[in-house]
Amino acid sequence: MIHKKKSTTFRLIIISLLLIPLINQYLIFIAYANANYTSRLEKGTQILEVKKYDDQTWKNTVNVTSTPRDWFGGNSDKIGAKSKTTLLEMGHRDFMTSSIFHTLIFTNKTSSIFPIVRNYGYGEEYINENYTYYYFAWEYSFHYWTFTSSEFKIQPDFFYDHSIILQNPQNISQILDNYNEFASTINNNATLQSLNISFPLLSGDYLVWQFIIKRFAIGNPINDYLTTFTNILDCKNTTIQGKTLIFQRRGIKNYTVEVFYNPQGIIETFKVKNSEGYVFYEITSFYPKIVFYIILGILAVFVMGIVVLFIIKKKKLQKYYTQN
Amino acid sequence: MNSLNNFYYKIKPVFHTFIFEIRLQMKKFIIFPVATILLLFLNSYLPYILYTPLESSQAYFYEFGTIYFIIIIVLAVSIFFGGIICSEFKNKTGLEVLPLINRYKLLIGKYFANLILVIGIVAVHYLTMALFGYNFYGGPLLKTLLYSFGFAVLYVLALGSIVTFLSSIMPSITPVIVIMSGYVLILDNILSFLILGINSELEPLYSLGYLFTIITKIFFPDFSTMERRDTFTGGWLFPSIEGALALLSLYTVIFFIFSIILFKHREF
Repeated sequence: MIHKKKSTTFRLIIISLLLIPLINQYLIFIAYANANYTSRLEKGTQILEVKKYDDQTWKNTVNVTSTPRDWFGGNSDKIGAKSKTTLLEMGHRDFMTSSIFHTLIFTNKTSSIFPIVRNYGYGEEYINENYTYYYFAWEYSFHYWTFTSSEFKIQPDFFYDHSIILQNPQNISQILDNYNEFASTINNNATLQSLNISFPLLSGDYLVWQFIIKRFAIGNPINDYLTTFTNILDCKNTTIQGKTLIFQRRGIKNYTVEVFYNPQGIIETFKVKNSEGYVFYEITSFYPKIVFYIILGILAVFVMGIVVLFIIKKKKLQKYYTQN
Repeated sequence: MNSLNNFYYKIKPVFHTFIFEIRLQMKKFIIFPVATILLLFLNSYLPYILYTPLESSQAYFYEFGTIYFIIIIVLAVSIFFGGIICSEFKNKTGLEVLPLINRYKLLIGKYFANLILVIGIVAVHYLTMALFGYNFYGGPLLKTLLYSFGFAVLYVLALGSIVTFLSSIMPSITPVIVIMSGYVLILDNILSFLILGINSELEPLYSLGYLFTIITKIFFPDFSTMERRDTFTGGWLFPSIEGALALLSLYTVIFFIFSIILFKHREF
């Protein structure tokens, strides 16, 4: 009887200890990471090059007034134009919702008007108080040179820019819901309405498109990550084939955007095809480290050759001296 | 045609000495580039692959990779140039019944052979560094790499002349290596510290360590506009191009002339 009483008391203590986080408003929940995904980003440089651009087909298919500049900026509408990204540093930690909004969700326009919204009490503090989740993510810093037809400048166009990869792609659904709720709050505020300030409500498809255009990196395994990411966002226009994300879009006519990810989880090739399968815009990538490994290989073969020649010469000499 | 033939016969012993010296020093020469590549691999490749964040620019990357290169330069110059004159006296080659070559041709041949070998080591360092830089940052490589290489060669010339001078007064190569390495790597810093304690306004152009800093700082494309004095301490950070050029050239010429004079008057 005494043993039973003790056991009940022990259970109550355990339950009350477990309940503490639930009754404490200052304790924030952490959206735990899925350990199945990893980041394989490596420090170094990736160079993207515009290999193909058929201006006429673009104007007939995408938009008469638009060019690839609207997507990638710089001289991305010129064949041979190159862009460079140098990955400098990687890390991992928990991010608050406001940081995730800034890095992954906000469009360029949203980011530009956010300081005004902040002044009316809807800044980072408001976001973090209302959406109290932490998200585990890999962060990476990089220098970025926009597309240019001439030689890269010494100084990058974007110095120490940074981005993140959510360790669990399933979290993106909750983040998008939180953002849309936040955007609705902004859009319903009378003062901000009078200032003609509004935040767009985003769909899953739009978010995936933004991920492509901003060239965000993803986790590994690529196929699983992309599938989970697009499924959880309930994307209607995307399909995944291996490491390729295929995005159906509609301009003047239907066209598809095919994005192939490399083992590091960054975009390797980007193709835009019309409904007949004709590629009218293509970006490919190049890694200077490949040249480095080729040169190392050549040098290794050269050194090996010299060593082998030296050994052969020495053996021949030894043979000559033993015979004479 | 006749004068050309005469010139050829005059220059031939120098050329033969040059080839002979290069063959003689070949084993030492192989060790140094291997050590240079290894040092760079451990200092400028492996840490970045494993844990260290990449430097924010190629210039910082090269600067960090070259800071420790002074050790290689000083040791290489001391070992290669250290025996130029003293080894002749130690081996008493001047007492040969039939002198095959006169002193000056011997000195010039040996000096240029060792100079080429040390410049080769410096070139290996810069090529390896450029290769590592390309691996991490892609093209285009900084043009300032060439400027730095130029100053590194000038620095080798200056140190080479000083070591040749020491070689003309020392009995063997060992004290030359000890004095030179000890001075540039340790004493020079102490001396500069003491002199700056007395007069902080005086630019330490006399210091070989201070002159070396131009090799690491000239990597920066904005070198000409960079502040040469520390804003907080007021200490000198690096010399100007003109100052370094003048002092390194002066060291090269003066010590080489001294070496020739001492070599001429030294008895076997």
